[in-house]
Amino acid sequence: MIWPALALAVLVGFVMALVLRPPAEPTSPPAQEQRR
Amino acid sequence: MSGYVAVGWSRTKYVYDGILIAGVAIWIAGFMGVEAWLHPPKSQPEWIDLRIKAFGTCAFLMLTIILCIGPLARLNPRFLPVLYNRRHFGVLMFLVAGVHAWSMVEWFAVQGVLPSLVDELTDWPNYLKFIGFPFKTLGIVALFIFFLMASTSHDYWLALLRPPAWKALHMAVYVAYGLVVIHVALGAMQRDRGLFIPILLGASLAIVAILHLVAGARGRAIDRGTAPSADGWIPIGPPRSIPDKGAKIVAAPGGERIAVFRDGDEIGAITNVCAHQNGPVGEGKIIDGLITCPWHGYQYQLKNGCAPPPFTEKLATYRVRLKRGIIEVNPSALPAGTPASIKVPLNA
Repeated sequence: MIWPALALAVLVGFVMALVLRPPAEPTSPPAQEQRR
Repeated sequence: MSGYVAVGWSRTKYVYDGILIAGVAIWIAGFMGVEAWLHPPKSQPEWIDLRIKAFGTCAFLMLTIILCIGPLARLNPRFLPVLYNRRHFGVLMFLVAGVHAWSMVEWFAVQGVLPSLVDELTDWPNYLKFIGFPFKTLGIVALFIFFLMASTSHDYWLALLRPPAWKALHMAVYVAYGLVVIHVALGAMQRDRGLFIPILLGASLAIVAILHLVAGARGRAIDRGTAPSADGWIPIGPPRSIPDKGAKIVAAPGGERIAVFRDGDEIGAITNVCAHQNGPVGEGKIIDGLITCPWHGYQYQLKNGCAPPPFTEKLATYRVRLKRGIIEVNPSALPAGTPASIKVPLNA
């Protein structure tokens, strides 16, 4: 069971990282500054 | 320790390694060339950053291909030649990943900010975050696993550790792959917001997962196998249903796979697990009168499962019989090296 659990954890991690990543372009200079 | 025999180099291995090294060189040069043309680096750190990306993507692609070789070879024997020297592929991938990691250290060093790297790796509160997790640590752990695998990849270590322990250690490649995926997802994918990295990661995950699921499903189909008869023997089929110079694989009730080979009118059964590296012997062929494992070419005699002299490996054999025109195998293993093959009339 360890291998399906590992595969699922990696898949969930990848999808979460994709969903949570910042937008493609900064919307305003302050937003860009904040990310720095 | 027992049984370590150095395997010699052959022209095929040189060609294989030549193709590997050329492929790596083409990827690195192509990636750096195109990127430098599109976005010319303006400083030494930017050049190093480009090198980090080129070697990182190269190592990731190599790792993906390495993980696909096993299931591809199980699904189609045409991929077997790629499997033979997979270890060289793995060691080269470790070296490429090592350059990627070293370049990262160099990036901090040339700017005189090496302490920042230490700070980043020891910023303990960040380890509680998801976005913001010190992703470099994941890469370092994966690189350590690749180091352990590369340094024990030689047959000397295989003989010293014994195949089950060696195999268990090398299964850690899947853990390392998972760490690498999250390393990229939390690192490069957060900073580079284009589509290249998500597509690269997603495609790699999908291909690796699908190939393993399909190859696993085929393996389970073999394991379901045919129910043994009342006296416990497993029916295989008429002699001619076993391919000449090939085998049919069946599973014993305990799950042990048995390879029933036919060489003309001689039929014999041996365990499907090669003594060298647990390779699937039954997926190999009889070459020059010897059962030849598809993984690394270890050979065994059909009559008794013994490697030809001067080699000393022995495989467990199984009794076979012809009953009403059907070959049957007894799933109780005989001691390794016990003669058990039979001759059958092929026009029966």
